[in-house]
Amino acid sequence: MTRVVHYVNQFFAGLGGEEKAGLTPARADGPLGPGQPLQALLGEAARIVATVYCGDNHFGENEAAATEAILALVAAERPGLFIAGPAFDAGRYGIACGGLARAVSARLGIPAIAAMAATNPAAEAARREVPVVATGSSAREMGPALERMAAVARKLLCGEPLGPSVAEGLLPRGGRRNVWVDRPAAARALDLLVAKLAGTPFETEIPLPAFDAVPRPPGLPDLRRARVALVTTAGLVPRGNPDRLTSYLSSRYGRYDLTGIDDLSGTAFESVHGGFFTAHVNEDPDRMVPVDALRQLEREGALGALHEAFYSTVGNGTPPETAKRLGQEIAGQLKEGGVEGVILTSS
Amino acid sequence: MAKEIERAGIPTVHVTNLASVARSTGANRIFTGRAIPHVFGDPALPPDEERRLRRRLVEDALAMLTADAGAERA
Amino acid sequence: MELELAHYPVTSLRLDGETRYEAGHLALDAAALRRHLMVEPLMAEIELHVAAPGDRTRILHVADVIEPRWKVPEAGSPFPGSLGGLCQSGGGQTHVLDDAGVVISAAFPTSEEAIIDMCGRGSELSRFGRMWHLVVVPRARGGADPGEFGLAAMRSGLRAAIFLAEATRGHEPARTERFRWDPTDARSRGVPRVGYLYYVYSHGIGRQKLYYGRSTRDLMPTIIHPNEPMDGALVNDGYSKPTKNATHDILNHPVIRELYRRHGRDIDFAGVVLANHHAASADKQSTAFHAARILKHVLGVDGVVISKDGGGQADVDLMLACSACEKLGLRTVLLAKEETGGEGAALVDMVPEANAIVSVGNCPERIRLSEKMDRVIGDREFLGAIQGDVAGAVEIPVQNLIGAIDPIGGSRLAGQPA
Repeated sequence: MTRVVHYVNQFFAGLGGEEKAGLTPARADGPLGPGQPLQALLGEAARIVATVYCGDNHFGENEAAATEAILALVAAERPGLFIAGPAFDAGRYGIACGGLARAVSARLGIPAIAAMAATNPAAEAARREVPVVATGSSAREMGPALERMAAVARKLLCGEPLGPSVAEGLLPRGGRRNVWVDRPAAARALDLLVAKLAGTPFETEIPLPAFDAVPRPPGLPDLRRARVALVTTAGLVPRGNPDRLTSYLSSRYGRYDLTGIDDLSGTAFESVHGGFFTAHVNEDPDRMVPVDALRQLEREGALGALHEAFYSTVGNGTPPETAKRLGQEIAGQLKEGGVEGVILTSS
Repeated sequence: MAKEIERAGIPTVHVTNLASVARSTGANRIFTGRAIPHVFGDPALPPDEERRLRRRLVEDALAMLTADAGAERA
Repeated sequence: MELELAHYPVTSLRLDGETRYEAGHLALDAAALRRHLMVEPLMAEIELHVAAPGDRTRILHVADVIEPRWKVPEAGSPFPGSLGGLCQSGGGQTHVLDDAGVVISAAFPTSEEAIIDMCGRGSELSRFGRMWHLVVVPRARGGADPGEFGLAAMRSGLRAAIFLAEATRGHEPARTERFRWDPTDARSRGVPRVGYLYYVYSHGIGRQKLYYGRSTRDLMPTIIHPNEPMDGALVNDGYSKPTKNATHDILNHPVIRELYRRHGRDIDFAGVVLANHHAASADKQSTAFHAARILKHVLGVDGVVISKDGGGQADVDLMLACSACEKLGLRTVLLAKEETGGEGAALVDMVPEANAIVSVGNCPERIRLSEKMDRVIGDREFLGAIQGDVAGAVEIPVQNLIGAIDPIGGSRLAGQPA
């Protein structure tokens, strides 16, 4: 019977939502929140002896110190396995889960797994470091996520090697492994070529890497003559959200006029982003989209011009392809508007 | 999104508190803001101080726009 | 031109009495064979061993494996130019000993280790572990130039291969195969024309392929007859194993065989272009240019299969050729072995047009060979980076088990996402 430590954030520990995102690391006996059904799935082979939790914002803003504190809490439990998540699409939670699983594995030598959606911003880095169970995008899919986590955990507990990522329900771990196949490569090569020549779908066995190195535009030569625009993914919109941007899975952006505006006020603007604690920004939107500071610099002549509008979308669970498209559309408008530099703020 | 704007030739500073994510997407200019819910501000400060903080942060971010790429600042 | 391969299976091999072949059993007159091989002036002595499938035997320092071949003397040498005079390769009848090989075991300067295990996991992963082998271990006279000695060792291997297969003279084959390809054949209607761009590795003595006995080091891309590699026109003089093909692989060329199999069915096999993996970048680019223009404007193909014969530098050629062909409107498929050690990319080089690649396996992936061997042929120590007891359980990169990864697509290991 193996001792297990489970990590969750403040919300899944049952302590509150965004307003508790600043909680410092702490522990509780036994499973909390999703840890309870997870324990049921693990059965007799393992016991979640403790749950360690931390506020998502605290972790994000103090990653090194929070990691040290959490490693100490985990080590004190002498576990044989560490499980973090599921974080679904929550970026800050995902960063914590991925980072902690990696740290526990690398520094404590304890097997560790994390769980999050493929679209989680932390997935790209985490998936190569530790086994990361692929979950759906939201807690509505908690059941299947916990089942897959338990299945992977059980394999690790009996020392069974994990098979190919796709087969195990993990995010692709990267790297390659040899497999014995029925058809020799020469035959497969001709199959592929015949399909390619016929225009029918084919699948390469060695995928191309992403050719996406963006050539870096040179810096602005003179701020005093430059036109700078503000773009945000924090979902700042005029009060009432006239364009109906969604708080999650946004596929559109809004363009909001700044003519004659020196300062964004909380009565005129709000954030509709569903993934962070928006109260501070709603109180003073300049805290996210710093119109007041840029206007001041513009008046003093330190900045050529603040562009006449800002662009806003909600960066919450947005798939990379959508973000790319939104970026391209906004870039097009910025170029037409003669914008020379951009400050893009994210929550 | 920052990459697409830079691809169009406009230097872009990405202000975020999740620098590791920004890095893993290959963004060129990354600036770590004050905190996740208030990237350019701090409600714990008196309003005047907060405005001065915001101006300093904005000036630093703008400085990244004038520098050549490959920069990261906390 | 039509080639008839007459197949003679080998079910046992021994060094004993007179040389004779009877119903699969091959006996060799060891003294006569040794005398025959000692004609090489640089040879001080030659050891001969037999290795049988299932033997608890490991063969080290494999420089080449050659399939025993024989032709009637009037038809010329089975390895024209490399051993014996020039004559047309790829026509007439050639005797082939199936499930047999002549292994040259020798360590040369800059050799990498290449082993054959006759039992256990190693014999499952590589077809060479399941054959009857005559192992030739040559020893050089003091002061012999290593490159010249390497060529002498190569010729010894070819001589031994012919000596073994000659025992089938006058016997009826168990089966025959015919390969007929003629440039004047009426072109098949309605099926795409497919050419094969066949890269070989030649950088100099001891690391080269010989075409009709001549080094392909300075080769410009050349149209060859598809039967020629299958009939001894292309021979390996290379101890730079194990990432390059052995002569045995070339003689059984899986890509050419597959193109023949589908010729007139879903493709029209339009021809073969031979090219070298030149060392210099400018030569690599020019090779890709010339190969693509021959395939497009002389052979008139629609699609091209491209294979390589090497590691990272060969990837550069693969991609240059892919790009050059695709830009001329030819669709390409590449065969490539992978070099992923952990996080690295599968291939050293990539171009956006390379969207159809078949994997022949990931080379650095380690395999565990756990059999304890009773006999080790060739030396007392592994070459190079491989550590461990030569006769014991050992963990090696799969590429060092010669035959496990076949660049021309004959083996059945493939790399997949981890």
